[in-house]
Amino acid sequence: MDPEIKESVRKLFRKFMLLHVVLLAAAVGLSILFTGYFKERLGRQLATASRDALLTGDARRVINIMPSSMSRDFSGMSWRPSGGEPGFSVPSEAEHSSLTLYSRARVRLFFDESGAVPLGEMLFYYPRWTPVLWGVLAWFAIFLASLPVALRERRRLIKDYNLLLELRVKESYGALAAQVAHDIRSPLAALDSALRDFSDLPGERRELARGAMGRIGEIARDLLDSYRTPGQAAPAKEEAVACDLKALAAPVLAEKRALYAGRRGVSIEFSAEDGARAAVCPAEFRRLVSNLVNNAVEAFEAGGRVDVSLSHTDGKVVLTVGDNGKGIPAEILARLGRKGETHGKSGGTGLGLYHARSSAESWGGSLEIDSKPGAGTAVRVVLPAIATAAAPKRAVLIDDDALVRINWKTSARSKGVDLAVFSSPAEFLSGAGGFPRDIPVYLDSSLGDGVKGEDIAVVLKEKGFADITLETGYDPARFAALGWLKVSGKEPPWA
Amino acid sequence: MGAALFFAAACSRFSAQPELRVLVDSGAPAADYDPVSLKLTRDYFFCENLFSPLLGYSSDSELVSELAESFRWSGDEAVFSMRPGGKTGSGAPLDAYDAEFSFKRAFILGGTSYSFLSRMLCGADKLKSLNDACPGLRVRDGGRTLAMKLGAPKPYVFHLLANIAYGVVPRSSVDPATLKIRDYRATSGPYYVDADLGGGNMLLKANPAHHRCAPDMPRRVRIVGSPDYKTNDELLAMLSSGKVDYVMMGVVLKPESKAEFAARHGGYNIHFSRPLRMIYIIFNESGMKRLTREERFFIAKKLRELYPRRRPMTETPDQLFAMEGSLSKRQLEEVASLIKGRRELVIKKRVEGKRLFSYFWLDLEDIAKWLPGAVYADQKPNSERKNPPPLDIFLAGGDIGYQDDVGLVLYYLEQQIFGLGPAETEKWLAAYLAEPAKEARMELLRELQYRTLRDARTLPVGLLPYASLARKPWKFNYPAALAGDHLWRLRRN
Repeated sequence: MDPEIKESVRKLFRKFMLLHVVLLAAAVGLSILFTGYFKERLGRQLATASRDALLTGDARRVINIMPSSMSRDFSGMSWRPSGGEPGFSVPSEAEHSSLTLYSRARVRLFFDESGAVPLGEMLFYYPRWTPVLWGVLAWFAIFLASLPVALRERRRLIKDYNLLLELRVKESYGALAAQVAHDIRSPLAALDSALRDFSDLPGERRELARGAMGRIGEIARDLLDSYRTPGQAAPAKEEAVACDLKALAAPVLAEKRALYAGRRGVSIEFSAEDGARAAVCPAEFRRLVSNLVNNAVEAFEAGGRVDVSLSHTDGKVVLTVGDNGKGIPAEILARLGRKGETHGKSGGTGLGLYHARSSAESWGGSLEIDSKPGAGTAVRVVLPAIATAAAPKRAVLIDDDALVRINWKTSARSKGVDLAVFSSPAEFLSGAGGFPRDIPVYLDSSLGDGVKGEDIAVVLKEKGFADITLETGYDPARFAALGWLKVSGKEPPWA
Repeated sequence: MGAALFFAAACSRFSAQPELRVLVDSGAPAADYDPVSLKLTRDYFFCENLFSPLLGYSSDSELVSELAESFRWSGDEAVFSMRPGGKTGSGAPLDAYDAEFSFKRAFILGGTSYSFLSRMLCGADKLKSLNDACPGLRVRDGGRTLAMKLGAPKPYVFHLLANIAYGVVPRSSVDPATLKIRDYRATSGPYYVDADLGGGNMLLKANPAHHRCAPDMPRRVRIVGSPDYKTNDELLAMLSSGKVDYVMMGVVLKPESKAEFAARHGGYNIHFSRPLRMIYIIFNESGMKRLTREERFFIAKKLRELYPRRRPMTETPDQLFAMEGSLSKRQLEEVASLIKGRRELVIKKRVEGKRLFSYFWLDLEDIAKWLPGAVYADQKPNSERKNPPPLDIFLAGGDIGYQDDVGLVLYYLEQQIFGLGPAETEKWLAAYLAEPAKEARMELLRELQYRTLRDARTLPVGLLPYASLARKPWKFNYPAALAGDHLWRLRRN
C-alpha cells in the first residue's frame, strides 16, 4: 500500500480509537449517573413507604418488610435518625459496607411538611462497580456496531485516494498536452510561412497542406480541452455560424484521401452541390466529417468505397457518408449514436457517432443511419439550410492568408462577383482611392504581425468606408463595442 | 425560628388581601365549638381551623409534625419537642405546659374515646380536676418537651394524637373554674376568632405566629352563618349571588350538586376527597328483635339500590371498612351474598326509622311498596310525638378516612355501630389496645366487623366523596385521603 494512504488509514484508526475512548468514558459515566439517579428514586420510594413506621417507632416493621422491598435493587440499607438516636441496618452489617465496593443512595426524611426538621437519613447500598460493567458492555455493543462503519470508511478512503491519484495522472497528462500544443504552434507557423513561398506547388497540393496544418492546430486545441485540469475554465463554446459546408468538408476529405491512400482498395469519393450552407461550428463540422469517414473506412474488413455527398433541397442540407461495407445488424443499429455504443471497430469508443448526433442536434438537425447487413451503411446528417446571401457585384477582401484569398476568389468568380483581394491593409490603402466608399470590405480579424482587423476597420471607417465586415472565428460578442462592424465566418458570404 | 419570623412577616405584609367568606349552616356562637365535643361536620371544621394538634397530616396524607416540632419514642416514653416561638392567636406563648393542660382537660371533659389514653397515662381513676395527678404526662426542659409514659412503644399513639380531638387548647383560652373555652382569640390553630358577630357570623384572622401561616393563604375568614333551614339549591345560590366564597364539605353534602354547580357556573374550584363518607343503616335492639335477619338484609338491600339512583358518585361496598380491618375474601363473599338476598319481600311490620326520611324523602312511594309499615320518626308530625316508640332503624353518615386503626375504632365504638354494650366495649377495646402488633389488632377488628355485618346489625348503604367549593382565585391543596376543610391549605392562584 502507498505510504501516503497507509498514513491516512492510520489517522483514521487513531480517530476511531479516540472516538471510542470518549464513548467508553461517556457510557461508563452515564451508566453511573443514571444508576445513581434511579437508585435514589427507588430509595426515596422505599423511604417514603417506611416513613410512617419510622415516625411511629415501629422499626421492626421496617426491618421485616425491607429485605423483600429492596429485592435485588439494593444490597442493604441503614437508618440513621437525627439527634444521635440509635439506628438499624438491614442486614445488620450493611452499614459497614465498604465504600470501595458499594455506592450509597441517601434519602433524608423530615418531621414536618416543609422539610425543616430532620427526622433522619436512610442509606441504601448497591454495588459500585456494576454500573461500570454495564457501561463497558454498552460501549462494547456500540464498538461492535461501529466496526462495519469504520471498515467501510477505510475502503472509501482508499478508493478516494486512488481517484485522487488518477486525477493527478490526468493533470500531468494535461500539462504534457498543453506543452505539446504550445510547442507545436511554432513549427506549424514556420510551415505555414514556408508554404507561402511554395508558389510552384500545385494549388490543390498547397490547399491540402494548409488544411492538414489547420487540422493539426485543431487537434492540438482538442488535446488541451481533453486534459483540462478540473476547475480550470472551459474554453468558450464555438458559436455556430453560417458556413459553406462544401468548403469545410473538402479539405477534410482531401486529408482523408491522403491518409488512407496507403490502404489498399479504399477509395473516398466526394460530390457536393454548390450553395449547401448551414449554421455550424466549423471545427465541429470538420470533426464530424472526419469521424464519419473514419468510421466507414475502419469498418471495412478489406477494401471498400466511401461516398461522401452534400446536397441541399427543401430548406435542408444533407451530408451523406455511405459505404459498401458489411453493414450493421438491426439490433445494434437501434443503439448506435448513444454514448459508448460502437460497431465493427476493435477498440472503438462509440464517441464518434455520439458526437456526430449531438452536434447535428445542437445545430437544429438530425442524424439518421441506414444499413443493410452485407450491403453497406449510409449515415445522413440533415441540417437546416441557410439561404445564400445575394452576391454583391464588387467587393474587397483583405487577408494575409493566401489560401483564404484563393478560396474567396474562386467562390467570387463562380458567383459573378468582382473581388479585389489584398494581403495587407497597406496594400489596400495605397489604392483605396479607386474604390467607392459603399463597396463591401471583408477584413481578416488577424492580419499577421499583430495587426488586428478591428483596428484596420476603424481606420477604414474614418476614411469613409461604410460596409465593413470582419471575417473571424472569434465570438461576435468580442466586437460588440463596434456596433457598426459586421462579423461573419471565414467562408465567402456568397458561397 | 428564622422560618417562623419570615412567615410572620410575610403574613403581616399580606394582611390587606380580601377576606374569604365561608358559609356555615348554623347560627351557633364560637363558644359551641370545642375539640372535646365533636359531633357534626361543622364542629370538625371550626376546631380544625382554630386548634392544632401536636401532630397532623400533610397534603399527601403523611404524618407530620404540627405544634410538636419533632416526636420520638424514648424507651416507653413518647417524647414531643414543642416548636420554639409558638404563640396563640392572642400572642401568648405556646409550650408543653399548654399541651399537658389540654390533655388533662380532655381527660376530664371528654367521653369514652379519651378514657383509654387517660387510663394509660393517669391511672385507672378518671381525672376530675386539673390538680389531680397524671404521672404519665411530664413536661421537661422548661416547657420545651412533653413526655408521655405509655409502658411500651405504641406506634398508633402518634396517629391517634393527629386527630383534632387532641387539638391543643391553650391554658390562656380556658376558664380554670369551668374548663370551658372562654377566649377564642387565644387558640393554638392557624386562625383565631377576632369577632363573634352573632347569628353564627364570625370573623376569623390568621395567627401570624403559627407555623402553618403562609402569605398566600386566606388571611381573613368571615363565617357567614345560616341558622334557618335551607335547601341545597338555596345554599348554593348564596355562592352564585356573591354572598359567600366558600361552601364547606358539611354544607350541601351531596357531591353531585356541587359538581353540577361548578360545571354550570364558571369561576369556581372544586375539591373532591376520596370516597370517605360512609352511609350506613343501624338496626337498634328493637329492630334486631322485631325484624328477622332476612328482613334486615332485605331493607339494607333495597336502600342500597335506591341511594345511588339519585347520587351517581355513590359506591355500594359490601363492608364498612375496606382498609383497616377489612374482611377476608371468604367473609366478604358471604356478606355480599347475604346482602343480595334471594327473594323479594313485603315487610308489613311497623318499622320506626330515624333519618330514613332525611335520606330518602324523594323515594317514599318506592319504600311504601316493600316497607308499607315504615314510620319516619324525623318527619312531622312523628317528630313531634311526646313518647315515641323505640327506634328500629336509623341511618347515619360517618367519615372512614382515618389514617390509623385506633382512631377509626374509637370513633365507631362511640357511634355504637357494633352493638356492644358499655362493658363489652370497654373489654373489647382493652383487648384491642393491648395488642402491640397492628396485624393482630386488624384481626380483632376484622372479626368485629364480620360479626356486625353477618348479624345484619349495621350494614353499608353507600360510600361517597366529600366536596368543597371555592370561588377563584382560591385553589385547593387539600389531602384527598382526609375529610376536612383546612382553610390554611387554600392558596390564591
